[in-house]
Amino acid sequence: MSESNEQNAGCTCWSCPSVEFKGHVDFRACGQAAFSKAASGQLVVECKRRPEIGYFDPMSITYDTCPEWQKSQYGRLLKGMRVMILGMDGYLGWPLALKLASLGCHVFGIDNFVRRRLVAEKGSQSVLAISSMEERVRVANERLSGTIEFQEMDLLDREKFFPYMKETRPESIIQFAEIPSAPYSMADVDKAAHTIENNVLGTLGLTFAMRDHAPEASLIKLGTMGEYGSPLTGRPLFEGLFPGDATLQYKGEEWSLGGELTPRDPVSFYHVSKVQGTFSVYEACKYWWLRSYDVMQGVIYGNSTPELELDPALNTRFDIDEWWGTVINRFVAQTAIGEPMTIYGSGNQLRGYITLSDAIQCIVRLVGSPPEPGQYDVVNQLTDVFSVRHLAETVARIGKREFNLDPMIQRLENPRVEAEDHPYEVIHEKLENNFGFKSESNLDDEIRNIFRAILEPAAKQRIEEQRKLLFPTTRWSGEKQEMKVLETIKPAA
Amino acid sequence: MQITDANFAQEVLETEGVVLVDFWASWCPPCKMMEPVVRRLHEEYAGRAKILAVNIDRNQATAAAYKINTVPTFLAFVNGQPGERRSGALTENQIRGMVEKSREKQTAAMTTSPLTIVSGLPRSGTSMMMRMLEAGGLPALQDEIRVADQDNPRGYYEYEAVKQTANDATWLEAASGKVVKMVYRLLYDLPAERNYRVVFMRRAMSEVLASQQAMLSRNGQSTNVSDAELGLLYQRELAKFDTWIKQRANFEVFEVNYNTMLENSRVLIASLNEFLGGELDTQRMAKVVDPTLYRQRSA
Repeated sequence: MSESNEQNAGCTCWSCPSVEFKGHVDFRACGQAAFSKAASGQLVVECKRRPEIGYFDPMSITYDTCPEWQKSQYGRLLKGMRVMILGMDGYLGWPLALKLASLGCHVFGIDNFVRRRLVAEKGSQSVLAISSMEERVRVANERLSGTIEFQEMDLLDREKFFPYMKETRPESIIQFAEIPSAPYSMADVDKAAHTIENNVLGTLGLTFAMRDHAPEASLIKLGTMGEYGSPLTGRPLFEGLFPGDATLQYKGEEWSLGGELTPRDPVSFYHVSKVQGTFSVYEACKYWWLRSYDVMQGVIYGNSTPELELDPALNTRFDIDEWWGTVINRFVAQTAIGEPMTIYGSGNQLRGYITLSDAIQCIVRLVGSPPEPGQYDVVNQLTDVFSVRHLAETVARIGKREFNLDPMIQRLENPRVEAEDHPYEVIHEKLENNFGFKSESNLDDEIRNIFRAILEPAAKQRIEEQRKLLFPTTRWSGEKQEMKVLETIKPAA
Repeated sequence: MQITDANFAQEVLETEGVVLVDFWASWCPPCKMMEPVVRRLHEEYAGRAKILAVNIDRNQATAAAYKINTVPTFLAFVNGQPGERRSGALTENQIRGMVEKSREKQTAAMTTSPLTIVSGLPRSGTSMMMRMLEAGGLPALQDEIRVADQDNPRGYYEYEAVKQTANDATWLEAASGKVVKMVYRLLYDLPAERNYRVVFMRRAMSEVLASQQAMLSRNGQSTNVSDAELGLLYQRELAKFDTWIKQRANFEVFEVNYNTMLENSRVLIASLNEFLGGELDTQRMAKVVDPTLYRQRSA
């Protein structure tokens, strides 16, 4: 538990979603000509939660003096904060809903269940049995202090979604309603189009709905570290925007790059959809004074949060197949049933990683410190950078020594188009420095947690049933041949 | 480093020297990312130049006053007057460049001999003061166009170029160390990067108006505004002018009461000489003060 959770104590009403601006603030995006409606008169606001205080100067009240903002496990949150989760049924969406409800928030959300459908179509299933949303919500509302409400709805169904936004008046919106699989998006044109349509048009519609019905809410948009790619020059991956002292020099002249979007180099059509989503949100903030954090998240692994452990009915999904499982989760599952861990290519690929529970903590902290009106900001959300090979060796070590398993590693032809040996320096300071984030997990412990959970007979059986789906079949090139095994390694003790 | 509508005048307009103001907004990514750079320079230049920041949403009056319509905008002030303006993110070197250029302008203004200006309402004794200072050793800037006449038996000291100052201030380049006569209203047009010493003539309003009427009727002109109205107008104008010049760090003012000047001329000349650097020939200045000229005397 973080010692000082005062990171948002000094924020003022300027950033609070409850406040409505009265008067004439009408500047537009920087770098573009703008106009001010009137310079005379002070900027004042009215608070929707405390209308009795009338009009006041938004800088005059801070979160630590406002009775609506209350201390919580991860900093101050609004009392009964209205948080909308899009994609509430998902791997991340559900644990986040539980966490926010446990902190007293009023959580509501939607899902179109596309994930459940696509996983089933692949022939796989969640390794940990998950209940229906109806059952989950019922149990959660019994066990937790806040409330959770769920509706089956497709974000793309604007005729339903826009009224839903208007009726629920969220104070914070988390956009998790995206198809997150890179190999799925590369399997064929229909799946690529499906990914892009679902993700890009979903986010686009969301920005319009916010403009019309919840302009003071902050949008937490899930991007991905894969938006940036991995530049061979070794240029560090800044947090979305160039720092103030970054300069470009060319033919003896110099320009500041401060504040400009950093280069994007996505690695699949799924990652392309994320880059497009970034631009949608960036533009909406400029045009309509919306507020957003773009979260460039590393690869998620693990499945333990305190709320998930309250009741088996509250389990979140745990996928492991080549399309829907993330690498560490898959490696643990492979080792659990005696399948070799499948490394693509050299295994030296470096990526950022973060556990499910750390990611949830980060999102909650972002919810509690909303951006200022019109502000678009980016955070790199990861705790560690590992090579794929290191992950396999760590899973092997723990599997062998602590669970008496017989781990194997196989290097395969790489189905992806990506650099396998590359520099990878990631700047990730904002979450710690500005939002008070302190990691509460680590790789080894989380691997142990996963092993314990999936070695349960019921879970282990479910892994067995999808044994054949763990080996990759989708090549970025579109060719259909089987992936060749390059090397089989028995890891040292 | 952050200043507001409330303290902008004090921190920027009334400061002698260079102040670089960074106008920024929280919704502007380059503004936010430049904040650590600006802060670093703010600390580095402490004592030599002020580098301050204004949030335009929270301080709309100041932003509108300087017509800030894009951010970030960097505006350099020298002695309270706005000068160079640049928009868009700047490199550290580019910001330093702005500050250094402004510092050079300020130094240039300070090291050249100041220009002495004799000013006041029309007909308040400015020509006489010009003669005194010229006698004392300050060369006068003048054209010879307006010939001495009955209203100014000893010459007018007019200098046509001053009337065009708003459009063309190049005459100032040849003005160091000299004295020039400028009616009070022309002082508003003087460029801010220089320093000026002003000898301001004050004369009883009734005498100013009478002297005005006399001169006009001698030239066959007359004004159809009554004395009372004109007097009120002048008083209002002077009040405005007094407020303005008090706030200008680059103007130093020495007031001369024309009405009492003749009685205690020696004391006045001594302090005037001190104000202007102490190098004047006070004997010759005293000889200029000629009682026979004092016709429009109040009763």
